[in-house]
Amino acid sequence: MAHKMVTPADAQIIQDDIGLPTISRGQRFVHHTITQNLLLRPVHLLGVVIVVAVTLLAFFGPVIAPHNPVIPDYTAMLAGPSANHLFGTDPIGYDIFSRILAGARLSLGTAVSVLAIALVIGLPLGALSGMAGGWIDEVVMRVTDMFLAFPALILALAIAAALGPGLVSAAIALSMAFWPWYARLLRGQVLSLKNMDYVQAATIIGTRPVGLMWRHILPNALSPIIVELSMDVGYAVLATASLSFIGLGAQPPSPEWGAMIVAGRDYLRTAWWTEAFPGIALTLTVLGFNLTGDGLRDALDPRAAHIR
Amino acid sequence: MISSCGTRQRLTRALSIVGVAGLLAGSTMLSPLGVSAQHSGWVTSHPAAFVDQGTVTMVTDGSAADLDPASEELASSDNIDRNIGNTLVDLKGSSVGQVVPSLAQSWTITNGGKRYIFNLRHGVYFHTGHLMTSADVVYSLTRTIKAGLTNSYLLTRFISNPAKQIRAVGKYRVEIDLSRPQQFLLLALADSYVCMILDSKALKAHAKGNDYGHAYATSHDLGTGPYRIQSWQHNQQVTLVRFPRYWGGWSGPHFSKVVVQTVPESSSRRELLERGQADLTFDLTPQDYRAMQHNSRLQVSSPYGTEVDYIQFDDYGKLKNPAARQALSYAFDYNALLNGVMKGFARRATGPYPHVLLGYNPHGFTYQTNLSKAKALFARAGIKAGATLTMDEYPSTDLDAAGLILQAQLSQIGIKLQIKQMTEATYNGILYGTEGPSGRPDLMPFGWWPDFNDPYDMAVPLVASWSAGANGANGGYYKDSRVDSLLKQMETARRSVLVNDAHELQNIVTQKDPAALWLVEPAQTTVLQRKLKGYVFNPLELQTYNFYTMHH
Repeated sequence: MAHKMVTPADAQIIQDDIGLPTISRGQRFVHHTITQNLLLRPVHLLGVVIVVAVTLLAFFGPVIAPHNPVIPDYTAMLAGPSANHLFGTDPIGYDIFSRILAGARLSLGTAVSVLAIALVIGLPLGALSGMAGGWIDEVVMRVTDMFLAFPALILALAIAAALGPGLVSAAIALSMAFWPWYARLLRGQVLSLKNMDYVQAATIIGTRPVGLMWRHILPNALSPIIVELSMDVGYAVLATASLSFIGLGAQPPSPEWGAMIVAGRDYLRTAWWTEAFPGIALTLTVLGFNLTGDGLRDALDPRAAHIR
Repeated sequence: MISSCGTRQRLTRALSIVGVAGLLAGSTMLSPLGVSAQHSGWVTSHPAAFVDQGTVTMVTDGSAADLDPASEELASSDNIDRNIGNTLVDLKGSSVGQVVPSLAQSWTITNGGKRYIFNLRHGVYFHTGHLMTSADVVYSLTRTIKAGLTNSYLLTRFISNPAKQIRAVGKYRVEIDLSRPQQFLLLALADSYVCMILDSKALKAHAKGNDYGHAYATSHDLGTGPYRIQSWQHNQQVTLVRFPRYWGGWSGPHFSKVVVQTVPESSSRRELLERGQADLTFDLTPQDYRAMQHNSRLQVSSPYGTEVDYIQFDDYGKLKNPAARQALSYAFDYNALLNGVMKGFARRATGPYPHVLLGYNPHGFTYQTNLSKAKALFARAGIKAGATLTMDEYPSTDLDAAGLILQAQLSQIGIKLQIKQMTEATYNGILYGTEGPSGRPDLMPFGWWPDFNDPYDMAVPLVASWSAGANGANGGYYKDSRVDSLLKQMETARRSVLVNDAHELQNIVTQKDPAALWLVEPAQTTVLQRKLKGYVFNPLELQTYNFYTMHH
């Protein structure tokens, strides 16, 4: 199919006529739909409330915890829920309520770190791949294929095992499993957007590739990335807990939720609270981020919204 | 050996001449002083009515990995070997010092206790179909020494030149010549795992190079025991079925099939017991034991064995100064572990020797928790607030908790204990590995029990300098010249000297130059269906079960 030739003069007109006004209208639309989807739908609102609560706990949890989360009470080992220990104590006498509060920061902080590292690696590679094309695209995509060939958790498990146990290792390992998704996502967006008229126009007026990417493509490619991020926070929290559960994540006495669950594993029959409360905290957090992610997807991805 | 299913140590069991002779009076006589003694063996049982009891199912957290008695070191492997194999002599019931005939029907000790002549039982068949003769006994014991595998130490203590010292004297007679009287040889030969007699024809036929058939024996049933392996799904299940030609006969009630299932989760094992889908298990939590004691369909047996659990110190680096190790011993909260975690299913260990072992000193030095004293001792050792110590650990109810308790205690005096958790296999790889002391953590928790009732046997792998690193279980490269001298003396000492030496050794490795933070002797708790009869506990044969004696 023949492409219509765009002259520099046309390009400037397109920039003036299409570029900024379109984005501005889009922003208003986005704000409206975010409000509509996140705050007015009860299910999504529940997600937002949970996310806000967990985030607040991540900041203030250790301050409001009634007991020191890493100092055990030997006189109350495996004590059931009571006024003194709201969620009971674990086999060593740690107060489970205090540890859940303190653990919010660890769980959420690790998840955010995982995604930050994944973005730092994935986005530049995705952008490079999409913009450059040719053999660079081939190489980058084959590398991502290699990473994607392994189930994410198995890959993370192998990397964490090689790096040695610890939350930092877990974060690095999980980010290695996450970055290819962002690279592919952005590459797809770049391939789609770089043929848009306004991008072509910017190219013709001499905008350099980096500027083109930064000013014209990335802002319009952000929506799916934000949706993906919001969905992945919950998964990263869960994956971090999974690595801790098998001993490759948080190490004692870190009050990470997965580590707390494994600490109480042998006592499920005799002290249910050691497993139940960290499990509920983990479930609610993952649920909250998933619901919020759903809402954002509905808001930012009109096609998905129509399907619903 | 490990507390919860792990590797197990074997060596000796100690008994003095007088003690052994006394215990064996009337049946087995043993005298290292050269008194000739003879035992006339059991009357061979004649087949009567076999009462088939069906299947007995054991659920355990470990899996058999290696069946070769010359190399295997897991209690879960021992458990299979104990049922598919036999030794020349056996420990009698719950006794730690009395032996009874097994493949050897009788024996004579002459030449001042230096020569042992074993008269073998006739008509014993291996599961391979071959008839057992003296050639099999000679080859089995010889290969254990010559192959130089993990468990060779048990026999090298007694026999340095097997080709010369172990001889067949006729088809059913074996002679062992020792260079000096050895009061513990019989007890060592009763070790139901290392000294198992294998089919020499099969070993030789499948030998590769100089491996003495090790590769083949690792995964093949070459024993004479009451059960043979029917199937083995690694890490899942081992199925044993009765061996009809078993020399002990099948008269009376016996199980015809034994199923040993691997169920790692303790809560799942408890569930299976309570639902009646399994007949016995061990290594549950103290809370589980307490709850199950109230179940009328179950019986909870909690005798004490010879296991001692401890946290070994790295004798180099930060803990080189004994004051630092004494500080750790004072910092630990023993009551929290005994009462809070173990709920009475353990008693305090005061050194490497458990209560039932020869050499145990009931009046030995015992640490009392004292954080102020610990802080002062740390300061004396140059360890100040803010210092970090490291510890590796694997899943185990009491050792896990001990690490966390120590961590919390140390944090109160400003010292950080960094705990790294890993699988048991990884941990064993470090403990028994070739890594030098500088590459090891400062603290390594473990559990140990001896091969037989001998304080030398218990202590050598843990605290002898020649057992450091890959040469034993001295994972902290502990080295104290006084301890080494004592051990050399104990190797051949008479009872009175042996006991005194053991007391002195206990004093050094506990108080003067601590080798470990000696924690507890855990009760060896087994949960069985109440209808299951015939379970006999022996304090030395831990985490293994003789299914031949059991029935409903």
